[in-house]
Amino acid sequence: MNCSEAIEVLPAYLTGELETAKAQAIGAHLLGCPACAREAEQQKSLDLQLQAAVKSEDPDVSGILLRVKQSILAEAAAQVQPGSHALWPRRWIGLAIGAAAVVLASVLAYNVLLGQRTARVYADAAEDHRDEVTLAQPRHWRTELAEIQALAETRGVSAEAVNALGGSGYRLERGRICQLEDHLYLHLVVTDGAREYSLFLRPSDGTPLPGSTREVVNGRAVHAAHDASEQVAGFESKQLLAIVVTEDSPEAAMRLARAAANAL
Amino acid sequence: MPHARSLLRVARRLAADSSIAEDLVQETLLLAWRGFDQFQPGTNIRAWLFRILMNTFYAQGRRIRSTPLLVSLQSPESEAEPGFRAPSSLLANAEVNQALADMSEEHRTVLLLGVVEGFTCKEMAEILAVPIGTVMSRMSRARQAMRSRLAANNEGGIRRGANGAACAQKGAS
Repeated sequence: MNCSEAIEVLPAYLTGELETAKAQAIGAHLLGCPACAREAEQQKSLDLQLQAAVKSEDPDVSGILLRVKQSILAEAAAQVQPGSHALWPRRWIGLAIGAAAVVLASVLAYNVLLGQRTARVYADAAEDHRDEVTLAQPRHWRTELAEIQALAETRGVSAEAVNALGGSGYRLERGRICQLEDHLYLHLVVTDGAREYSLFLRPSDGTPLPGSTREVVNGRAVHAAHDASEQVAGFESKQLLAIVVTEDSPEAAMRLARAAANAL
Repeated sequence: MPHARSLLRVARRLAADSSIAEDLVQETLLLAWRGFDQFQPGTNIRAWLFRILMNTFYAQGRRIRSTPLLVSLQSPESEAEPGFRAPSSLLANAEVNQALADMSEEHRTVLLLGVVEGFTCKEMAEILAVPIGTVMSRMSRARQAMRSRLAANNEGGIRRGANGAACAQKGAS
């Protein structure tokens, strides 16, 4: 066995996974080759460092487990057989059909948007809104204003900007971080009392937003994307890039975009 | 769920953000619950969970992948007298985590699964759905890449030596 062969199978040798003949061959090679023996020692040392570094972190999984439990309970309830005494299975079926219709319509819309390529960021925003707001899949949201502001600042969105939204006529409900296209965004959910809307924010970097300009509000060109399911609008200020999504009408998306463009 | 922490530790080093990593683990556990009848009793449940995690990660594609710079690194030289180097394990951990974050996804994945989570090369081959030879060569290259990165920081390579497990902990005392 030569050195390159030995190095190649060293990982499996060190875990005892090699067949006897091959293990004996590499064992003999290591005895007679100081360079490969040193390599084996360095591998072991590196492994200890890696294990220590990664395992020094003890992440809190309680929130994840709670959300998994909620989803499992909801799914278990949805699986109650039709024909049983309760009236509510029919309701669940209705909800499931409704949810499936939303998913189907959105998938179609997503594909249309993807076909346009330039609007991928809008397609991602629409997908996130559908999963996390319309279908309310359990997620770890921050609901306290101070927590949301702290989260915003980690993404370069000022606490003042989050505050300013309070004067837009919409109430801030919750926030989290998500990724659209290649950027991380602060995903805020706001409500007008009747419906929830998504507002995605990140620092502006001069990249023009896709879509045609619908109107100019407060000096900001508001763009909109045509979409059968989710309605998307976006604008850019000096500091921020904002994308609005709703499953309501295009006018509802524009209304929130106008309010946000005035506030931010 | 004793494996959730392990899943999250790995997910946090693959996904772009900690909340995206949480979503990934959440989805993994839900898929495992839905598909539990496909799990064969007597086989390795950890490997099965990690296979679901990796499949979910790959299926979600470009949107959730991490970019480097997860960990901020302080230069010890900038805050200490010349020639002095704090032997802090926290600092060493930060350096290793940064080196891991800077690596290619392929190399990071095999190091996390093989070295940190202790999967054997054969188990990794099943988790990643690649031939075992591919796993071994990725491991070798990943270790070399990691060592080069740490050596660049340490001006002389890895200095702490000790015994320990390598690709996996199978058979280790």
